[in-house]
Amino acid sequence: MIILAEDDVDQRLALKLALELAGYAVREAASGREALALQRQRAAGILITDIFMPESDGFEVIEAFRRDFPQTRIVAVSGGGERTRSDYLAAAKLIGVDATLPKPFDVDELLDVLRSLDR
Amino acid sequence: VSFQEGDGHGYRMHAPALNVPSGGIARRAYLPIPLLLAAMAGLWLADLRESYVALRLTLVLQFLFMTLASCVVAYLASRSFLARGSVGLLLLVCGILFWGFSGVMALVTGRGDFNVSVTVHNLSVWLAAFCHLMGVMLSSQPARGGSQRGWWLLAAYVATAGVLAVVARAAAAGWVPIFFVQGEGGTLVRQIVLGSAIVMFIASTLALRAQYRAVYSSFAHWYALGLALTAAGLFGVLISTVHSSALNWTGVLTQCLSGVYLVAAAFAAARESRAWDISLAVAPSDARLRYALAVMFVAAAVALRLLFHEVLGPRAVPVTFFPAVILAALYGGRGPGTLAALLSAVAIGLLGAGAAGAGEVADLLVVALFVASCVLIVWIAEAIQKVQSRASAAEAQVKLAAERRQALESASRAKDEFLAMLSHELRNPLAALSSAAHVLKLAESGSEAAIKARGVVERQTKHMSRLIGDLLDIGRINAGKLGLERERLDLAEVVSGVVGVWRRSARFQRHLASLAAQPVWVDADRARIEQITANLLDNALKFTPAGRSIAVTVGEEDTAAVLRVSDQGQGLAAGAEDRIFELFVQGDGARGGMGVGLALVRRLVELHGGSVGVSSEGPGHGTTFTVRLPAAARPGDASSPAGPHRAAASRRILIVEDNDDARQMLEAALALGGHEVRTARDGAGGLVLAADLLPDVVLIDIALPDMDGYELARRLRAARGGRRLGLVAVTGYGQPDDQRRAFDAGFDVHLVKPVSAQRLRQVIATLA
Repeated sequence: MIILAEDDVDQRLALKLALELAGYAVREAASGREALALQRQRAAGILITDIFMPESDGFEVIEAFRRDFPQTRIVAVSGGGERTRSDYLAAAKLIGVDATLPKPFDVDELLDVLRSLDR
Repeated sequence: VSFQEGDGHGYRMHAPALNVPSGGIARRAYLPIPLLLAAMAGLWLADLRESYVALRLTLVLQFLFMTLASCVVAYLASRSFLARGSVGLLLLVCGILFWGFSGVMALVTGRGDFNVSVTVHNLSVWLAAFCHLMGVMLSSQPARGGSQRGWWLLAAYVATAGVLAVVARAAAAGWVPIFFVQGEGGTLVRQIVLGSAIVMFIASTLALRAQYRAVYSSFAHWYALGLALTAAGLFGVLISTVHSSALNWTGVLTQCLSGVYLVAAAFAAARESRAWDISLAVAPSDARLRYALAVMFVAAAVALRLLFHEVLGPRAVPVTFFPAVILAALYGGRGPGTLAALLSAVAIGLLGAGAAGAGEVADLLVVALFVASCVLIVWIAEAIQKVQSRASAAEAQVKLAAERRQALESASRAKDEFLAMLSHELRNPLAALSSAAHVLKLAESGSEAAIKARGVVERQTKHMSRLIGDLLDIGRINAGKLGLERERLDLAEVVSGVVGVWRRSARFQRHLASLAAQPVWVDADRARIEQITANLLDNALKFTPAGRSIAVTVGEEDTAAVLRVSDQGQGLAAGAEDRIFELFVQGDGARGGMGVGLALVRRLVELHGGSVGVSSEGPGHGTTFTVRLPAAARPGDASSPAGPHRAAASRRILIVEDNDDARQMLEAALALGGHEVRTARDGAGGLVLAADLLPDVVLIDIALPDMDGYELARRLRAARGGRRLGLVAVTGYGQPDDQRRAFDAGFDVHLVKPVSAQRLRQVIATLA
């Protein structure tokens, strides 16, 4: 099962549809806080999270997941911000994210990553 | 309230009513001068030799009307000096104190000895006149002193007190020639000292008037009259042969009256500035003043020489005149320096050049040597001046280069940030489109997933094309290529149309949208007004949580058509109000969406000659955007000529621009619009013209040769008091900081070159 944390409605919807087509059960969260609440209800094996989100940002969520749910795999995605996106993804990697993907990515790429995490 | 009329002295006066108790008093304030002069002439002809000595009364009068008055003026002038650092103000402090204490010092030192009293009084008054003249002449000098102004002020007070003490001691000890014999009147020395003092007071009056011919200052007006009254009073004293005679009393009382005028001047200046501040620094400098100053330096040297003639005799006459020539050359340059040298040579010739008994050849030789040395002095002074001006020009150039580099750097930084944000904005829809494409590739075409994915594709392509369209529009506006197709529109109708379309397309389905619109007409481009409305609605939707309301109102307020869009979103952090209209700046949280929309709204509104603002009561309390456009008359309604078509009315416009091409283009564009246009090349010229023309609008280039546009704007605002004056900055610098600086300096509008004729007309129409 996957928790998908992404604030943009259409991005979240399209990615959810693609993941469901690939056979994953997906639960949506519009913010990091929502993702954490969903995880506390029922723990998911994988978290896919955007790094830039309102309220608590991606880094806070990642940290909370690492601390409270160390067995959950984390994939961080980012479309970049004021600084270059590679900076943020590199930083995400440093704090223990399992995989990073720059936006826009091919869904097949993401599926490859997810398969490699399952193993 | 303002008035404008001749004041009997042939120069135009323009003053807000605040300056003077009433227009009549200010205009007729000169009347006592001819009346008193006539009275003195009458008393002189009558030659009444009766003496009415009343030492105590004189002391009280002079203490009240001269000493106290001078202390008040000196206090205000000191405060202003500390604030402004004008050399003129410092000399004014010295001058007014010499004058104020002249009478009291004379009485206290003299103790009934008329000669001593007269000597102390006359010498103090001479010093007062000299300081005043110097002060007026130097009033247009730049500020000095910086952090040491307090010390300068202290030094001025100490010097004044010291000189007064020396004068009193010298008079009491009989070191100076006899000034006055009761019954016979003043000696030649006294007539020269007092006469030159009168001349200097009159010269100060005339110089003050000449300097403030262009810029009205109530301080200059009253102060000039006060000095003229002093000169008149001294004239009465000069021609009286009997101390304490009726004529002498009239002279003394005239001086007391001048104290009232001087205090009036100080208070008028203080009220005008509303900061207990005397401003002497607004007058433009005049080449004639430098020549006049050279003459005064030589005159002072002559007076000094005559004063000590008995002690010195004809010895070392040239030495007395070197300082005068040096000062004239240093201050005024070659012309005034040469004039001072020639006048001094004549004076040396008349006073006897060398030692007594030497032949005429020796005299000529001394004069020739003097002239030769003076040529050298003038040459050196000029070289010093040149070096100084070159150094300050180089300094200004370095400063300008640094400013330009900074502007370039910040422009390049802004560009980097812009590109980073742009790539972010474009990547977000691409990410959604990429995922949707994947879904469409795999899902069956009729399935729910495929339908939803198609929805994503539709929305995101629309979003992207609007984003790109907005970006292109901003590019066009920046390049001055976006033209408006204006027509007379009902703003309420256009906005209602947009809201209706949005309602029908279910974009408000998760929000409560309300619309309250009163008809109000504008001259505008329908498509652009729709774009403005749509972008504001889009922004409101983006930041308002589902279930909350968005309110749209349209109406007329103070001849402006006003569109308001209020949301119940997260609101704005304090200080974000200005930045939110910049490209790609968003509310906290970087929620996806376009940072282009609001920037485009502002540019489009400004293109229409309007303004847009945002207000928020802080985070969590929602935001209100307010668009103001110039209201127009209802079509076919010809009965209201005043309101709508102000654009067609002729305005008085002043253009201050040093670049000839730019100036001529602006002038031509505005003259075509039927306006009365005048131009100036620099700030000083602009100030003079502005005082003369009383323009409705002034266009100012920020980079002027003599002062920057900000300074000019501040001065123009100060000179016009609270009255209406539209100020437009025309500049090559378009950074937000430049704009803020312009608004801080008092500009109403900040235009970045090149300015289109259309934009110019719009701006004039909204300002005038």
